[in-house]
Amino acid sequence: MTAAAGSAERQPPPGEVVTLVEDRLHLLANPYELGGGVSTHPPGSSGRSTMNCYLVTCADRHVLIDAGLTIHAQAIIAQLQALLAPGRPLDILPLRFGEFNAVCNVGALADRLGVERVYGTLLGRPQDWLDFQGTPSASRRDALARAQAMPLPPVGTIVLGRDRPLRTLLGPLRLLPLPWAFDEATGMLYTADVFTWLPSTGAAGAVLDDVAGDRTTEDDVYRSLVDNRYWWLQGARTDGIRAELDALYADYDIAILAPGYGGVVTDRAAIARQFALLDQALARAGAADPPSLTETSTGIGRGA
Amino acid sequence: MSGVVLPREIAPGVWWIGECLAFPFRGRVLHQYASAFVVVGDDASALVESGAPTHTGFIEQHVDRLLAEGIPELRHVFVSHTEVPHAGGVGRLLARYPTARACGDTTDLALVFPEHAGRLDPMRAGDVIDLGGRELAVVDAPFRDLITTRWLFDVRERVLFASDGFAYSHFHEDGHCGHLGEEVISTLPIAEQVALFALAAFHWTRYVDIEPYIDRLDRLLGEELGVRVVAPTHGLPFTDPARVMPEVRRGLRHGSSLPLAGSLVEET
Repeated sequence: MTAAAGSAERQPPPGEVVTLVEDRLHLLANPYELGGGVSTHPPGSSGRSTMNCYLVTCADRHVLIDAGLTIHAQAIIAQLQALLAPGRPLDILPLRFGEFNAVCNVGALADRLGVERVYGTLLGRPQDWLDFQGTPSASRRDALARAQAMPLPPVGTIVLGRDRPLRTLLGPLRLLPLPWAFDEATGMLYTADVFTWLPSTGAAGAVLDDVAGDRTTEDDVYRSLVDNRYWWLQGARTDGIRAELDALYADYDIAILAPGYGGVVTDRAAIARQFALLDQALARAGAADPPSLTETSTGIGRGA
Repeated sequence: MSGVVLPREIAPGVWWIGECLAFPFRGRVLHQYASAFVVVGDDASALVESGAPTHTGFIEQHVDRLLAEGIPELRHVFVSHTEVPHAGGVGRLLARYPTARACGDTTDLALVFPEHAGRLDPMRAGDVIDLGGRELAVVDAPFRDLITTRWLFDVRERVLFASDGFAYSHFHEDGHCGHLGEEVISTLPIAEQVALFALAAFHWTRYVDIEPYIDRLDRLLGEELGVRVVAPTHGLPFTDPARVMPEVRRGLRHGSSLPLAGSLVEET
């Protein structure tokens, strides 16, 4: 085989727990290295970002939005043990259910902490589609089998707990058919793989809470999109996406911009700025030449 | 017409394995393959795709059956891209087959399966897997979602393993399961299913000019590789590209022209 050597096992640095809204919403931000091949950032990125999980606290239960990467399993378990209120069950809502970084630890959390409900049934029962880690474990499978499978409508309202509706919506900009979500109680807009370009491991930590500290440029946003998951935007018809984003920003009272990874924004002026930068980047992409489709380097020929 | 039970040999030494996923859709149940393929060389075998976690057990059963029948040991698990439906089985398969390494697009896998971080071989277009008397060549994926996606080409039998490309669902109750595309083309509206799949899973196709992508697929299958068999992960394989490709083209054009609002992904 002619291929590069595999990478060595990585040990993640410590994570950060941030109270976004007292008694209602916490961010669990756990760092990972960008070098060596990650899908969250363009090739050649360096440094670190954070994988985000959001703990929604209701009057009668907790709901963890996304369950993080396997390398963060022990960190997330410890973070939750410190946050979970006695007597309130834990549910898990993996919004990016087709992506590993939202589902890796559902089995481990069910096994260690007990999970009452798991949202999402498209790929099978929880014990079937979420028990994929290494050697099969009877206790992990049993723990997942005890969890109630809850439907996850891509558009609609989920009642997470007593008086805690979460609206799911189709993200105006998306690669995979996975929903965004809006938590009316806190004004959190969960944006999956968009708005993921903000740094989250610098001196300011995982949360941008003052627009004065926002160093993002339009080029940062553009490169984050077209050099990675949104490669197809160059030369695409982006006017409709821009209009949908404008409408979403006008319709929702967004107090927290919450991506699946990268920095979280809690300052309204900074949120407005981020939407404006995204709009500019989309306009630029729409005016660009389409991506080259001639790069396949097979050298194989037609053969006999 | 009744469905065909897998494994099925679709070219000499190429076995189609796996199982269908079932999706509720407008009052019917759509079946969609989460296929994998076993390619057999003189010295080693390769598994192409690792399937959705729901179906890892089926893949293990099928691979074990082929190994019991005498194929060479499994040394390679080729990953086209690292979404759960395509790479969810990697951890269990590497644990079950200790001589195997994961290769292809291994992005993120060290973060997902850290216990196997030393058994990952990232590959680029032009890299080759040598099975002994048979080579599998990595090619870029002109139709994809994740930018890191890789396709694989069996040089000897001219089989293209196309991951998310050429995806289309079928109907279990109509006996389509396990059949090749050209075998069911009279009862399965392939173009319609290609369009539906693109609408649900390849949202981006509605924002771009689809013609360059179709041209690229045609060139790859024809003048560049001379493909005889197309083996997609989510569609029925086909061994008669000249007969099936017109339907695929029609479906891609139709899917890219459908209205932008809404989603076909439904949950019960």
